[in-house]
Amino acid sequence: MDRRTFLGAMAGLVPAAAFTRTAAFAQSSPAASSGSRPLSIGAISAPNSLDPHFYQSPTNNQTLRQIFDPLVTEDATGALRPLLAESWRALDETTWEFKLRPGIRFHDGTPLTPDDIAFTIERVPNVPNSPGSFVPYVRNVAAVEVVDDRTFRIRSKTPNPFLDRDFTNLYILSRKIHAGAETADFTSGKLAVGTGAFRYAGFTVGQQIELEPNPAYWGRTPGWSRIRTRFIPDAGARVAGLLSGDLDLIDGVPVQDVAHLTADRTVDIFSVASATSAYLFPDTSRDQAPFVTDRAGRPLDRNPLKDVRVRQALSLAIDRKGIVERLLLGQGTPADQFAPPPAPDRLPNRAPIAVDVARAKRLLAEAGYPEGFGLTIHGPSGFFTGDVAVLQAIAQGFSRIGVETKVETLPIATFFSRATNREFALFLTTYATTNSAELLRQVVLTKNQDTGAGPFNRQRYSNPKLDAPLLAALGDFDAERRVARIRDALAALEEDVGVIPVFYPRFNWAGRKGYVRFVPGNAFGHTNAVFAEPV
Amino acid sequence: MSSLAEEGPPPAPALAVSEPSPSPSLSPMRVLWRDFAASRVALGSLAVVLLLVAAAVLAPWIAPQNPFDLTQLDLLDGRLPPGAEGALVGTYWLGTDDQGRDMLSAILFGLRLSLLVGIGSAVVAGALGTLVGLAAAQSRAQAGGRADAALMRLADLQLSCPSILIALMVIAFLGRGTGNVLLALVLVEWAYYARAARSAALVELKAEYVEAARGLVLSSWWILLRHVLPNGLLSLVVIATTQVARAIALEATLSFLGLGVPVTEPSLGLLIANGRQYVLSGETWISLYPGVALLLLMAAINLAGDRFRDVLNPRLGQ
Repeated sequence: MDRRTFLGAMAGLVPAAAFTRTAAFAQSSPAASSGSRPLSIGAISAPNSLDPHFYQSPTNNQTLRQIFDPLVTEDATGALRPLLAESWRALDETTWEFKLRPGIRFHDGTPLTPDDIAFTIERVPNVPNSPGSFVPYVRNVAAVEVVDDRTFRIRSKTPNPFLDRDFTNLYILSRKIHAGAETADFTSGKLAVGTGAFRYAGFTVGQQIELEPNPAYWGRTPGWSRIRTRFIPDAGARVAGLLSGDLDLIDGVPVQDVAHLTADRTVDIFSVASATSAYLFPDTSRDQAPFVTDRAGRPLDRNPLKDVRVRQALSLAIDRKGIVERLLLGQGTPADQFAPPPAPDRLPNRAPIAVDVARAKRLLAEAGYPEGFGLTIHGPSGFFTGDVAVLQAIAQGFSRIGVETKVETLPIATFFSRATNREFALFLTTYATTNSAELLRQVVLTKNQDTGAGPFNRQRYSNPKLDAPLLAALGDFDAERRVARIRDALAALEEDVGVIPVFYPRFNWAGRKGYVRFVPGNAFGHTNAVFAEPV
Repeated sequence: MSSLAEEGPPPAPALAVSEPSPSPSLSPMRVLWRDFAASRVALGSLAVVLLLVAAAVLAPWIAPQNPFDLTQLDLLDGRLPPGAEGALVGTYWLGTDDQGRDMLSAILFGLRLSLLVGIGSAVVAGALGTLVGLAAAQSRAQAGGRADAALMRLADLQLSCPSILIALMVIAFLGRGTGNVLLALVLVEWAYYARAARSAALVELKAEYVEAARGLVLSSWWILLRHVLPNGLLSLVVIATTQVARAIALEATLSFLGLGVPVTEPSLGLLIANGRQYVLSGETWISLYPGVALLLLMAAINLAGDRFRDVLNPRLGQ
């Protein structure tokens, strides 16, 4: 545990060093001093709320990260970095001690205290109607003990080697400000009060959010006078907005525009190989699934997706290389497994899953569908770059092995609520993480309302061969044994084709040259002003 | 009046209609045709319409590829420029879209969908609207007009809302799909026919031949359908030509917004929408050619319809 403390302390120096550097820079060129220029961002997707505990999604998290802070955060390599907590260590397998940075205040001046962490943990399970809950991150917490005005201990019910990592997504609220706060109070802006680098200045759901810098921020704030982020799902409109000077920074740069924007002298491209896994999630739990028919369109009396051979066949039908090279023009990597490349605990030595139409047809015939069947697959539109086109390309592959496939794409809000209601047979979505254990626990671990396991297990996948090693790993402090168990779980999922991995997208941003530099601060492709530096 | 009326030859043909017998040897239909054909623009437009309809009807036989059959598409042929050679189809004369869909085939099949939706909705809405209009006129002429007032206020209500809004609400409520688009268009269009049918019928119901028919104790619906309707039919047909163009545009708008037909069975509007994201990167053909096809179709229908309306309008010549 000493090593962790040391690393934490070392990492603590990084922001401090950065602060000094900026201060020097500001002195040397007064024109670029803080607060002089506004930043206008065009973002592909819109948060559905400003309540930081309402919806655990990249979109909400990236937006709210500007207003609120977590205790610890992940950097672009997936390593943990201190944020509100300046140091932390595990005292034993169920007790962790955190020390807060001194002098941190909320936007209204309320000081941050260890009791606010206790309040935040208490609040999470009491946020109603969450489409994706933060409960799994706090369910294991037994108690928060305040040691002094900066130090507290978190006791977990069972050993949790990932406890610090669990707090990277959990933004800290104040008991004094937020006691009794409802989701609507945040979205209206009234209680959108955090410790973050920016303060709330206006929000219209689905349209835009406006922020102003927090002059009392403990760390460095990028020198923008005002931030306006507009939510523009249409790729062409985002690019046109950038080229016309209406927007300074856009995310989700369409793959076909990367080449000509790179050549454009007025634009800079910034990119990161993401920790995102795009996958298909089949309904493997019900005996009859919606949107599955025979080839003539009549409902089937059994669900072909329950048969592992059918799932293998579907996986073999997808031209992942074609999708990445032709459709995404190389802005991604074909999937070889569920866990994305930055996860250190993923399965080693896997080759990309190649197309094999003959074998896929053979598997379908063995499963009792020599003629194939009919299927409608679903996906979000405007969620990630090329989502609609990728779904159609997948349908192309399925049709080639005899599974006559229709495609239906839906706006994000409708799509995820219907997916959560189990209305789809097979859908395309993504999950971003630098940690396989987290990926498995969130997406494919047997759903359990009591423990909060599997909050994103929308198809109610359940595989005892995965659950057993994963649950053991989640409580294992022996790093080597833990990784081995996580890999056992990943292998069980791979063998059972519980999800069908497709590709790992690469994220691109484009910004006005000489005005903004974007430094992706994590591997999740988050777009926000915290990572945008004035040039 | 339309600019075509000015371009076309002098009023003589129109006069011919208003004064029924300058050349007694010709039947009314032949007079109509002669007047129509006097405008070269109108003739050309009609030829374009007929050509496009023929292309749409024959699409399954003349298109190099069935763009709705996913097994015939190859991702590796995606976004090829016009004239490129492909592995599956041969030459892609108009290029391919991002899914490897041959644009020529996609446009032919898209035309099919657009025309099907346009003409289908015009026929259904025309029949429905005409019946409503006749019933309203009958109610006003014979039964005190309460039903007339109710039906016409409903039509007013419908006409006062923007068509696209009504169509969007219908689609939002019923979901996407070709059938639902058709239904939405019918709901948007019926009122135009109802109003025209009602006014035409009100004029005719005062005519002496209707009195005569009433004297024979023919049923009122028999009188409406056999005597009144044929006399008002031509104006309804003129409305139908412009409404077909309107319906095609509305369907294209819905599909462009992603609320029309399924993405794997694109109509012209959806093809344009799919290609729009590639315009800035130089792959303009994906949007351009379906756009040209849509423009051609709508312009031709409108030009021919305008001419048709002009030759039927007796006042124009006086």
